[in-house]
Amino acid sequence: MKENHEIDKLLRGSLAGNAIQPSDESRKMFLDKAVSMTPVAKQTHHRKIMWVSGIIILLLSGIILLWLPDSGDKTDSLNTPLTTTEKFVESAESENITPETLSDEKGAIPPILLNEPYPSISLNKEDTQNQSNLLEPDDKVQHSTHAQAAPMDSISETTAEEQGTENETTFEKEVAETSEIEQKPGIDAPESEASLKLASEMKTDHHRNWGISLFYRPEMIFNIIENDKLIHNAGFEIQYRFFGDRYSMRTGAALSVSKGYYEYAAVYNQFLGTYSVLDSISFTLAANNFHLIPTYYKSEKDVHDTSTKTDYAKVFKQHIYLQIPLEFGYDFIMQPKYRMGLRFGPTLSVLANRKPVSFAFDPGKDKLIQINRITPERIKTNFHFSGGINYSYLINGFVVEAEPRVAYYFNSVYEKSNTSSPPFSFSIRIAIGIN
Amino acid sequence: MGSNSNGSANKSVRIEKPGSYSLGQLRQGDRKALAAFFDQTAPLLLAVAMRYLANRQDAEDVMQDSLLKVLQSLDSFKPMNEKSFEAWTKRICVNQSLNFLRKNNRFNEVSNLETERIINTQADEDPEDAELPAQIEPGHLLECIARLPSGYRTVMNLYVFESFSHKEIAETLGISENTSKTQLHKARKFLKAAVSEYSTIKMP
Repeated sequence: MKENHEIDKLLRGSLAGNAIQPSDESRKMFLDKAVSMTPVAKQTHHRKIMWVSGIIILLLSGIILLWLPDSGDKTDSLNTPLTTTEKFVESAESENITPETLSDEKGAIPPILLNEPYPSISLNKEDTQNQSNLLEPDDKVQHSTHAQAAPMDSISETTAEEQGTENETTFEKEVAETSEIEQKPGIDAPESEASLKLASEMKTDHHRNWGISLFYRPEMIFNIIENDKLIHNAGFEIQYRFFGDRYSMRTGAALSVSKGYYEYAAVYNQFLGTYSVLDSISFTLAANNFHLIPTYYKSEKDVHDTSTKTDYAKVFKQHIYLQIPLEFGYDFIMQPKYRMGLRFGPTLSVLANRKPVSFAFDPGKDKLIQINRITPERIKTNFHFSGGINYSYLINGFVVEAEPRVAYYFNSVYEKSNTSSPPFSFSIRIAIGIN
Repeated sequence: MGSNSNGSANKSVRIEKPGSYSLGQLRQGDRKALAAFFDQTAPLLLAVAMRYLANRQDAEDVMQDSLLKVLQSLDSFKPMNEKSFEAWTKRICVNQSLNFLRKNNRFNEVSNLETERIINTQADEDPEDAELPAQIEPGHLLECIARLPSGYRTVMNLYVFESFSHKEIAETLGISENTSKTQLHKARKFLKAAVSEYSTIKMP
């Protein structure tokens, strides 16, 4: 079998280190494919999808918020006219109401009442005429701008004149109902005026559905590699309340700052020392002595070990994420001074900045061969879902909120998703705002 | 090594060899690094693929697939030194070549008629006394290898270059150990004859 070994040796010897130059086309094709398939390119694509979906969510929420005020008013006016009247009657019975006291006590009126639409108050024809004279021009304008204001005016004029007998019957019923109000002690014309004013003020209080708040949210995160457990989040949020103030929706922008170590494996040749290399010699003729004077030009060359060693380096990095939450809420306890309810929803996080804070690695004169990242990089775009219980305390138009929360990240916060399980976190949101 | 100093780690990310690249850069999709990676690795892989496939176009396809596979699998690579990376990429190329052959059902392609006839006639006359040159031009040697039927070529490559045992070859290719031995024997004889012929022609 000797000859077999010979041919094997010949094959190995001749083809060892053999290289065949590929075509330029092949090179170009590879580069195009490689660039498009690298994690960065994939992430760019992924990030685009995230951005688009985030924008769509924001647009949708904006549309919903714009649409809700009208629909909410309609719902209230259609469903609860009588109840409102009854409440007015009850309040009128309990104490003697004057316009001044009403305006003073506006703040004490339950929120549900503040949202009650103006036209649901039933009045008799004469009162309506008088009150329409009493109304200030601004009020009139305001009434006309609301869809619900039209029926109110129609009670005074159009209902009786333009609609037939049926409408007259309805009108008579309303008159009968309001006459009951008149029969109650303490209810007179000025009070009707007051209730109108109150109603118009309630209408102008519509902006109370909106609120803005600033918050800070320390967060303890788990299932994350070499990272500070504590993450700081701060930002502002805009909130809109609807359906009798029980439901809410809020969005805004926040910055999330987290810090963590990143480990690298540095493969290097150790520096052993230096030696002098003779670069060149120049000779000068010494005229008197007839001999040559040499000048030596030398340079220092480093000597490195040929065997490689590996050292592990850590870099401390800070990540700043821009967060856009979209949260929905439901308050199951609503008191004049405080509220309690659930808040939950997704949050889009986009990496805004990443910078090294400190280094713990200096190669010195060692010759670096390769550096491999051990801790994977943080993902650039991510979604997480969070929820919590919101406690709100209302003071003079301001609101102070405390909200313990739990968050679950849909996927790992690292580029290499198999490196760790999706993280989860506990946090408490502390906010102050205008309501 | 290892002393703390701010500001130096950014420098450390660079590899000092000019025109080279780091695995991190490849992961990030750095175009320059990818180009350097291609320039350094592709010729080696193409040579490997040519040994297995004999057809330039097929070999380039396999080389492409191998390079992309290397990029996809970078995270699973445990670096020891530069040589280990090269060996790893070559191994991926070998696997890709085998997959290509398997897909195209070429493991069973044991013969083309002419080569079979030559091999069979050579089996009778032992070229033991034929002189082999110490070195031969790689291009010609590849041509000789390309003339081998695919099955013989694969066995020979795995045995000679990848240091597989006959048992491993049999498991990899789904053939018996005896078939592997026979095919290697015939491939060697054919190559020896082809190389001797070449050296005879070359000699003045």
